[in-house]
Amino acid sequence: MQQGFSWRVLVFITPALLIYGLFSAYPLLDTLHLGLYTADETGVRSFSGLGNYATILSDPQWSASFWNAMLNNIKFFGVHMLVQNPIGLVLAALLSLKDVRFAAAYRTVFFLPTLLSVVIVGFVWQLILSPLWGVSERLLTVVGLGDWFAPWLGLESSALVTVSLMSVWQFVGVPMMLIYAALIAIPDDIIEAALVEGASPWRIFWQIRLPLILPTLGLVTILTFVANFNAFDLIYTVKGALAGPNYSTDLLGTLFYRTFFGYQSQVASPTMGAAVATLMFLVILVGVAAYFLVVQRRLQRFAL
Amino acid sequence: MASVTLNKLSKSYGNTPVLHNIDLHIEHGELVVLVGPSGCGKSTLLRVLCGLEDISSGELRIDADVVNNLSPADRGIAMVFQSYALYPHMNVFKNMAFGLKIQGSSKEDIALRVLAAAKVLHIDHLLERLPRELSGGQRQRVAIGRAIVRKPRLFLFDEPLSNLDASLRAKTRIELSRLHRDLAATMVYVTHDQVEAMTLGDKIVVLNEGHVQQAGTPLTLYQQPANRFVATFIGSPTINLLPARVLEAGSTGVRLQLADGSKVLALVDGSQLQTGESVEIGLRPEHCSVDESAAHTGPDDTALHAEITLVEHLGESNLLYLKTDTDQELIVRGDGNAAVRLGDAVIVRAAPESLYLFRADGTAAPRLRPGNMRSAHVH
Amino acid sequence: MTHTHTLPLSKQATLPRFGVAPSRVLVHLSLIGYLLLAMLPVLLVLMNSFKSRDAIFSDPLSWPTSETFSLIGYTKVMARSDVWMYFQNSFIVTVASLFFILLFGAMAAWGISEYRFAGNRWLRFFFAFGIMVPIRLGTVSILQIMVGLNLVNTLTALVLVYVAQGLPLAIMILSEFMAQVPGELKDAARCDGIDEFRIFFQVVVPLIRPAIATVAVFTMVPIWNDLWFPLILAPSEKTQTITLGIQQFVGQYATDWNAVLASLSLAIVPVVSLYALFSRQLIRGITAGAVK
Repeated sequence: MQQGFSWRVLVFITPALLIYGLFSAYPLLDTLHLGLYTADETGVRSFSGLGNYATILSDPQWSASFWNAMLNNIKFFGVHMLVQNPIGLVLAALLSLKDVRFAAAYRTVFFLPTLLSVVIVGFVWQLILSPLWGVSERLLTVVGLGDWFAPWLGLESSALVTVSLMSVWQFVGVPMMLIYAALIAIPDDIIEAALVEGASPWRIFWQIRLPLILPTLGLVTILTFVANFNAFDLIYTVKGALAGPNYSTDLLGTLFYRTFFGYQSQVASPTMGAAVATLMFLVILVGVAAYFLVVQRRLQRFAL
Repeated sequence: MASVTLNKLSKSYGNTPVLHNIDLHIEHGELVVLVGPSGCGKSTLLRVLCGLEDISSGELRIDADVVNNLSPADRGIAMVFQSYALYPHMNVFKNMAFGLKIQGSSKEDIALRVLAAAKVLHIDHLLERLPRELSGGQRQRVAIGRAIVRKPRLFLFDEPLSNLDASLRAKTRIELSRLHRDLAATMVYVTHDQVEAMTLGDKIVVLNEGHVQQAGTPLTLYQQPANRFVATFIGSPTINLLPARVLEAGSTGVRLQLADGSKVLALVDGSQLQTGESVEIGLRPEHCSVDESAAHTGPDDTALHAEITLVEHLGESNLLYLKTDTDQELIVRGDGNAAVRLGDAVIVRAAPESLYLFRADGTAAPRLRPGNMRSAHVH
Repeated sequence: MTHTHTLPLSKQATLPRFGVAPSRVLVHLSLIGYLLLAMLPVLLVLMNSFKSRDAIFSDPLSWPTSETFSLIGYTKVMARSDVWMYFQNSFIVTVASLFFILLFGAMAAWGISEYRFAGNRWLRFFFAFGIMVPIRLGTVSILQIMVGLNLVNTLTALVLVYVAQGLPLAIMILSEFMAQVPGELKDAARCDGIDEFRIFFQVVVPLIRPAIATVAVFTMVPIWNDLWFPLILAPSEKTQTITLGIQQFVGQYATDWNAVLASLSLAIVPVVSLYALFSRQLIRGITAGAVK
């Protein structure tokens, strides 16, 4: 390492610092700041302290929307944790076994949905699930589950789960890849040693492999958390900014969008939008802090 | 403890054969060392014994059971890996207890056995530690401990000392020897280091390119190598080889002519040799002596005129690097007190009974008086 | 002490080959099962985009035959929207952003990892923060800034934002790899009197090519696929990216199944083709960088 602070260091660092500072860090701080203001009809802004937050959390209409979005977001996250990450784990485990033919080909295909734009994914699934086209109904009938079919996307009771599963379908590739990388990093001779001691494949998975990839599972969890609480694109594509039916697919991201830009009857309010964004920021911050304090400290990366 | 028998065992990876028709028998309680250069197949053979690789053809028996298709655990085998392969997320106790837990032993039984093994290996104060908190030597003991607690009928060691530093290696070698004696265990040990092989093995198996070159006691391999490869592999520094031509061959000895024209006698059984055949004679550095004059040279001795090109002082002995009149390079181990200097013209002498003889195809003619040659420089 | 050990009879018979894995059949069944699930939606769309409208509805599960084959969907899409311009916009934005992310990111990573100076740790922390916190939360401000700079509805605005978004991760990954460049190399170059900038560009950068590839992979895809910023910062007809373009198109012509399917296929094909070409490098990049 070189000592000293020379003008050269400045040259190296400044461009990145400028752009990041101006378009990422400053806007975030400014948003936090803006959330402390309100604007009247003429657009004049005045300081209102935590007034916006009070409104969001206590005003019956705002509060209902906010907590609805929050709850939905939690369910959204829940579906991902229960479906996306376990499937990613299973696929990664299967692919990391020795002598699986075409493993590379499988990996390639499994990662494909992740590369597609959310817009594409949203529309493709919308078409497939559409009762008008009937493709999914036909496919289910082939498997004998024809009675199961319903216009899930249109029903208030099932829309959120359906959209969540669409997102899961798209993003399974990410945890799969990360977990796969961690699994193949486990030295072969540790597995062989367990084998020589008489461990069954099941035991090897639960007692050897899984504990050694826990740090990666923690990473996957926090990445899922941040991505889920930031989600917007899919809902907007499939359900529009109103996130229907009856706000049942409304997430914090769509709430933010509506509040900020206004939509139909709702008037645009940058200040309230900023407040919503700040709340989102706090939620994500809590999650990340929890990750670093709890998970990172407890789960050491075992030196392999 | 078990005996192990390999019957025409071969292994190929796809179309590439790596082990050819290995025949071997290991007695109860023997420590057999598999030794050979890199790529000779010794590790593969060990893995085949363990069950981590399958057998292409032939038979593997442990005691009376044919175990070709059995999993490692079912064969009653424990293996100590070169890298120790300790479970990084488990402490020493759990590492050693893992195998027993799988077998279904009770908690008390496990605790007893682990503690007993830990005491024997002097790691009982380390039971709570994780592998990354241990030194290399300590990790190795845990690996050995893990093998011991399972009371297997066969122990396999894959180059266990190669990751240790030199001083620790010598110490650990002795401890392994002691362990073998205390457990009266059948052990198969793989190394590329012939010193380890010679000092530890009851029996040594020299492998090259997937074939067994020779199997026997260390002394047998040293004194009666079956072929040129074994002769050059065992013994440090490497045996000197000189081209020669057979003048007269019989079962009581062989007369040869060397490149410099001199005629020598080798006390080997030459009944298979032809007159005029081109062979090589072998002179071990420790069986030659270096004289200033031909005063002590007997009529049948090998006596070569040479010049000293390098002297390495080892304290109790010297290693003399020489070049003969015919540009042949030799190494001789000489007395550490001898006053030899670079450039000295000397005579390298060897008695007939110390010679080895190898035919063109590498096979050795049996020596008639292999005996334990006393180092020639002590009279 | 000899230890006699007889095997239970059940194990003495020759067993089928044991393994580390559950039965091969089960493994492949599961993998193929998921394969179908992953590919089927895309295949269905592609297949049906080449069919006539009636065929789409009457027989969606079959390949287009000579009777049902039709390019009508594609012709409609080409006629009604400027697909090529959208592709162009996406391409320009992605490539430009990638270029600046890699350039400025590598420079900053070098500055932070190589030189010791007061505030170095804080700078690291400052950038690392940006990885976890999504840039979207500052959109309110960003839009205001863009308005102020007169950059609304320009591709430049998108590039600036994406660079800001991609820098933290790029800096983190690149500085990790840079830290692994042997010190002797750099010192030797310095002893030869080579300027710091040349050391950076001609010695260090070539050595961290795998890291650069990894960063390129990680940043390229989210930029190409992003909907949020094109929607908010550059929604005009001339500056639409392909992602936004498709979204608007499908939203508009929702009942025109041919056109919808064709436009989706047009959006899918470039990504899939590129992926098929570069999948090995891509996956290698991800698995290499991901472990960090």
